[in-house]
Amino acid sequence: MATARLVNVSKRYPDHLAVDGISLSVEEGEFMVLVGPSGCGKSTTLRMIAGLEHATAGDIWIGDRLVNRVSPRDRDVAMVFQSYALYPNMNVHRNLSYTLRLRRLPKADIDLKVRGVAESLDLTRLLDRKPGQLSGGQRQRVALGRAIIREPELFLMDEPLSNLDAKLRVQTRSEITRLQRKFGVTTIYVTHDQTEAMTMGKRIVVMNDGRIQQIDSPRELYRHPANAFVAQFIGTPPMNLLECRLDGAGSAKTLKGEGMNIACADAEADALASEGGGFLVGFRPEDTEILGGDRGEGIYGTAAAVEELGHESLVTVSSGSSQFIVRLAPAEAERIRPGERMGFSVDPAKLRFFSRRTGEAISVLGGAAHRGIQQEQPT
Amino acid sequence: MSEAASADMSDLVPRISAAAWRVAAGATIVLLCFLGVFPFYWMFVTSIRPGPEIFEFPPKLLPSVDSVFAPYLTLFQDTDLALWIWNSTIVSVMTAFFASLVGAMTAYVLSRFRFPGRGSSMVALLMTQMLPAILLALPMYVFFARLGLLNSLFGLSIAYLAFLIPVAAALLKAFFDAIPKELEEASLIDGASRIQTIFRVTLPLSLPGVASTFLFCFIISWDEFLFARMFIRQPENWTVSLGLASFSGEFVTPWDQVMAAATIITLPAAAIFLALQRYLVRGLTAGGIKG
Repeated sequence: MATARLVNVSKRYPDHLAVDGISLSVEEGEFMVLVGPSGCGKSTTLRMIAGLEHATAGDIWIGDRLVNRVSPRDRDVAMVFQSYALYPNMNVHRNLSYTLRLRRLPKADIDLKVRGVAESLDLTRLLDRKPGQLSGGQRQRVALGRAIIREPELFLMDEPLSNLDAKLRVQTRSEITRLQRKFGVTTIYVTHDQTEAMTMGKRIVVMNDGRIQQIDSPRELYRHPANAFVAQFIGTPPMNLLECRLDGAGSAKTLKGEGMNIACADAEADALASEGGGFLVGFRPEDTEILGGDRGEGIYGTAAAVEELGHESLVTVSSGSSQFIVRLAPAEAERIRPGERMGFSVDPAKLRFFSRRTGEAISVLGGAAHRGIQQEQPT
Repeated sequence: MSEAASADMSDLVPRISAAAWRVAAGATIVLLCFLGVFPFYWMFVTSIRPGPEIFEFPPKLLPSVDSVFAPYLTLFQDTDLALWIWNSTIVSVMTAFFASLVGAMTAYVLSRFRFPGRGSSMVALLMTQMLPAILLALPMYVFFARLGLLNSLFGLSIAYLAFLIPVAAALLKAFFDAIPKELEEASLIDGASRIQTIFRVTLPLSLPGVASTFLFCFIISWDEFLFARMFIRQPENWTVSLGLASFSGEFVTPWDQVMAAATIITLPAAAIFLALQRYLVRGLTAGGIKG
């Protein structure tokens, strides 16, 4: 087990900058997830840690070793690829034992280790089969086994579940988490699926455009997104963001926007006043309650669509040119008809504010908003 | 009753059309096989016919022969066919081996690495194939004469390599391109060096490509006539194509002997093809990469 640390790491290709000066550190035994949309630089970051790409700038440390110039074979990392990358000319036994054979371990030791790993992954009866004779889930387990068997300092996983069907993905997700806990190996896991990130990661790094947007626990990312991108990337459906401004004078200030009329506490008002013309107010779909009337304090609009998901319902509400989604119990939602005018109250403590200009979270004294960690300081 | 009959009919029509389709497909395959095999059959029967029967009209499909092997024994006793075959084997094996080896190294670099001049290198490889051999024959003759490589099997092999290495590289690059680079990356992370990765992962997966390239180069060198004619003068260094051409006389050409020699000359290429055919079957990479 080892720590991993990236200090101001960049990767520039001739035509674009893939990773732009990121810094982060992964603790010993930690399960860290890099998440972001396609092309955000998360896989490139992982490949730089593996040594498959050279960092154009910055330092990569594994444990207390600076590994920028160390070849992949000497970094003592294991990687699980999205495509599994099993050697098609070798059977499962030889795929699992490949790394041990390269290290010239005695045949008996190799066999013992292969059988141990095969047993823990339920691969024993498949040892003689070639990858072409295995199902997607079985290939995935062989790929995991190949990583586990070498007992590396660091596990690197590059979207290992994206080729599995939905049911198998959920099963394998918990399997990977179980194995990581069992072996306690420091793990960096890349995914574009925020559900995967939220359920697996102890800490999550959200990336966009080659930069780290926020590093935090799943709960903090969800509750206190550092900017509008994280607010909308984390959560299904994403956080609602509506444009609004501060209205009124003296101590009776309100948040005004299309269909919005919410009282604003003094502390919030002071912080938001510096934003001048306007800002974005954010709330999660589940932090709302239906109001009885159609005027007064709250957010008002017209029901545009109702999606039944069985255990819950999502109602899309149009308010002028903007839309927001609320999450309701099925019993509440079934009374709603499209075109019906509706009002919602929002828990004031759960309102979040973002700069309209930069998208950054606006820190409001008194605890309504909180600025997350956007980049770890290089040490 | 009539409903049952119409149901039977509706069932019968697709069955008949499927059977007709199978018969047509089978007949086409038989015809294509016949077109492929008949020239070889005709070459063989011509080689064992008595001389006058060769030009008989209408030709007989089955020859009237006393002994099948007699013309072949005569051939080996009266000519240097064994020597020509030996010379051709040396030239062809040497050419095919080095063309595949150097071609594979070139192809691997072009397939796996990005470097300045990579694109122009690939264009240069293709350009070598755009010049007709006859255009290069004279300058190469002068060049080889100055290097003292005329009348030498080694020199002839070098001349062939000049043409075949670019072809081999282009052929093998396509095979290497088809091998996912994640397999090599997995091997590098698993603890292998680049060379170990090539020998343990890349080459075993590209065996069909290497085998077809070897076979292609072997057959081209085995059959080649133009450069052999120009570069080799001494009969003891003749290759099979030169030996075969020597049968053609000013007044008489012994067609039975020509065909007997042609039959024997075809055998080594066929043997190599049979030996390598299991590697020529594609699909060895199936299953390693999801998709």
